[in-house]
Amino acid sequence: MNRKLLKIVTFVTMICLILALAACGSNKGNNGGNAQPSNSSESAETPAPSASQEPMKLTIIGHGSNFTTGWEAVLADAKTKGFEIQVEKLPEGSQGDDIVKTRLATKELPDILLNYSGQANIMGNGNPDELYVDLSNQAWVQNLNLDTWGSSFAYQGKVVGAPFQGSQVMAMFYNKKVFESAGVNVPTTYEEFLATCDAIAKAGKTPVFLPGKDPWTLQFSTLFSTAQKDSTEIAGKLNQNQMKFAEYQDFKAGLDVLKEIVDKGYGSKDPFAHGYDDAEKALANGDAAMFMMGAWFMTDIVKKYPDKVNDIGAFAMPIPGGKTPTVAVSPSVALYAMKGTKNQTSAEKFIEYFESIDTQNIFFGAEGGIPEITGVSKLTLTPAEMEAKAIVDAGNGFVNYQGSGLNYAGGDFPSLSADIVGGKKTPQQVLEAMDKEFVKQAKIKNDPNFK
Amino acid sequence: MSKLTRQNYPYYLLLPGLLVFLCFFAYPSVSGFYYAFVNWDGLQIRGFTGWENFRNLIDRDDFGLVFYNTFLFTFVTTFCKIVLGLLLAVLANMTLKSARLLRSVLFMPVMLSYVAVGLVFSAIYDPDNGLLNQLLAWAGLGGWTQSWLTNEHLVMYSISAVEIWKTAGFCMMLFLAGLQTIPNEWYEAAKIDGAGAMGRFRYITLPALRPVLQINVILTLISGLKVFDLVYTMTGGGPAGASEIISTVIYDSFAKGYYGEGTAANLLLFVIILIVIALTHKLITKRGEGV
Repeated sequence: MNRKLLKIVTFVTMICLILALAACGSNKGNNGGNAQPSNSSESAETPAPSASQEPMKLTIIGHGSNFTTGWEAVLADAKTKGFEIQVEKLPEGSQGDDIVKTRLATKELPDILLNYSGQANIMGNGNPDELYVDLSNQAWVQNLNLDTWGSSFAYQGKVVGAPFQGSQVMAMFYNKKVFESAGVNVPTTYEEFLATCDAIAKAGKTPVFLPGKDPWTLQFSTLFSTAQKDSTEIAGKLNQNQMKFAEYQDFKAGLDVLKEIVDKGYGSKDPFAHGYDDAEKALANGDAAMFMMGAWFMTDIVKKYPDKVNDIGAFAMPIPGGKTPTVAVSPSVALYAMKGTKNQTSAEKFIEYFESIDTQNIFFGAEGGIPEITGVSKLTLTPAEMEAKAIVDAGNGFVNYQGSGLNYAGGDFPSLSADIVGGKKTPQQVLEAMDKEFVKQAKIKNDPNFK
Repeated sequence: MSKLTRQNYPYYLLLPGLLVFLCFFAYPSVSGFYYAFVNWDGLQIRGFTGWENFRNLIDRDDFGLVFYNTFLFTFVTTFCKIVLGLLLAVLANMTLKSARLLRSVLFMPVMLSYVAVGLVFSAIYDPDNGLLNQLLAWAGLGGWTQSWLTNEHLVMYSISAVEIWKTAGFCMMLFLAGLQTIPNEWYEAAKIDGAGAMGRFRYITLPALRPVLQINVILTLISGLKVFDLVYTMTGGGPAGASEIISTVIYDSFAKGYYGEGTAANLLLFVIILIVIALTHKLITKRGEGV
């Protein structure tokens, strides 16, 4: 009996020890997995503020991947201007997003939040009027085209976010040498575009490369056609069930363009056999004349085909209906000055400093990219990116339907675009499929507008 | 220890394993039946939907094509794997010097990862630079070159060919194990009675392999109905949905956040597999009773 009792006591003690060790280990692990303050190097290197100026202290939190070479260059300069910045780098993806939500819920606010832009994200963390400082009166706002970027950085007419990195511009990229040899110029109307395609096809080249193996590349004609000033307003109507995709004329125009390119033989011969890499190769080598894409692909062109970089240009794709050709833009992440923090004034001053032309020159001189702020001169852009930027600076760049704050994605648009290229669906059928999926997604979320 | 305790002791030892099985296998499987009938976004249940998830599946434009592709793939690969597996097993069972090497070589594709095989064969099937079309052109058969994965009429057969290449070796091994249990005396007796090779194969080998055949057919039918990796890696369900199968539909449903619908599709697949296997088992067993 004593032996039995000894065994039981030993066993229970072992279990308790194991549980205690596991608890200690998980506490240590939790602390290591949290946001990692990286204040040691920055604040240690800060030069002593002059006797007449107190250092402006502030904290910034954001996903770690955003703090790259441009930021490092600005940080070095910011220290000389008297800013003492503590940066807290968050894990990527949803883990970092959850930390932001937790910090906002528990009111442990940083002075500046570096987070996603766009209406959905501005409103997604709570009431923007209560959370974010109105930056509208800052000088740099004069250099931000609100027609293009208003939906990305403003809320109800008030600018609450300041652009942090370069934007993405989606345009029609073309091989200048192919155009020259076919004797065509950049088209400014849809009729000219069709004539250009015809001339290039007769010259034995592929007018518009459609890499159907990667269906996401087939949606750009619609991303261009819906890049209009009223895209956010239309998204609001779709969200409120006041409008259907079937009534969205700009959307249909983009689908009609894709269908016409395929039907008239202006697309790739076997679109589903070729992917994104094939498209880059074809455009760079002059086997294809045009490719609808975002400017990010020029990074690959610089790496893979450096001698062809200057052969590629960009223009705004004309669509049927006579509207001014536009390019689609996608904003960068944004800096938000949080209301009510101890260093709110320093945070506002830092944003004003960051968005100034001088600081933007430092940032983009080091990092590259297409700035949202106009007037930045120190840029490391390819000719194609410069041409795309010029279109945006001229006021012809807008957020398309996907970036306009739709509550639901609607149908699987890349697959639906592939159905048009494959001849399986007409534009009208695609619109109906988008409506059907939109309503289905709304009902799944018990959206009161879709009872 | 009392007599009752001694009698029940084995059952006590079974309890931990049974608990693990119930928690991690039985409960998730059964609860899957429930989630197929609710509006579930992966985090919370937003109401009972009845048969709506199943109706949404049937309402898909490509519902017929999805089932056609799945059954086409299943029956084509099952038939070819069984026939090829049996022939390879007979070959590998011969007393050849290189029999062991032959068995290893024929079994090797089974050990490869589906994703790796899918990617490699996507390159082989490339219409412009792929090895297959280049070999055909080199052999003077340029007219036979095809868009193997982008021709909607050919794509499922192209994928089926890869599956057959990859897993015929597994069928071969099962048949080989069965062949090696057949006593040699039966063949000797048949030879004495004047039976030729085909006769011995038909009246001795095949009937003796019936249990192995049943296992092989059932396993290949199940793997055919459940296929996902190969199709997803090679075509992603394309071109334009031409190679969509039930598993890619399930995957798409979950990817879009339609968890209830994805679970319903999963349940439908489970029921189909059950019915097909039950019918196959009955058919093969019934035929075997006549022997």
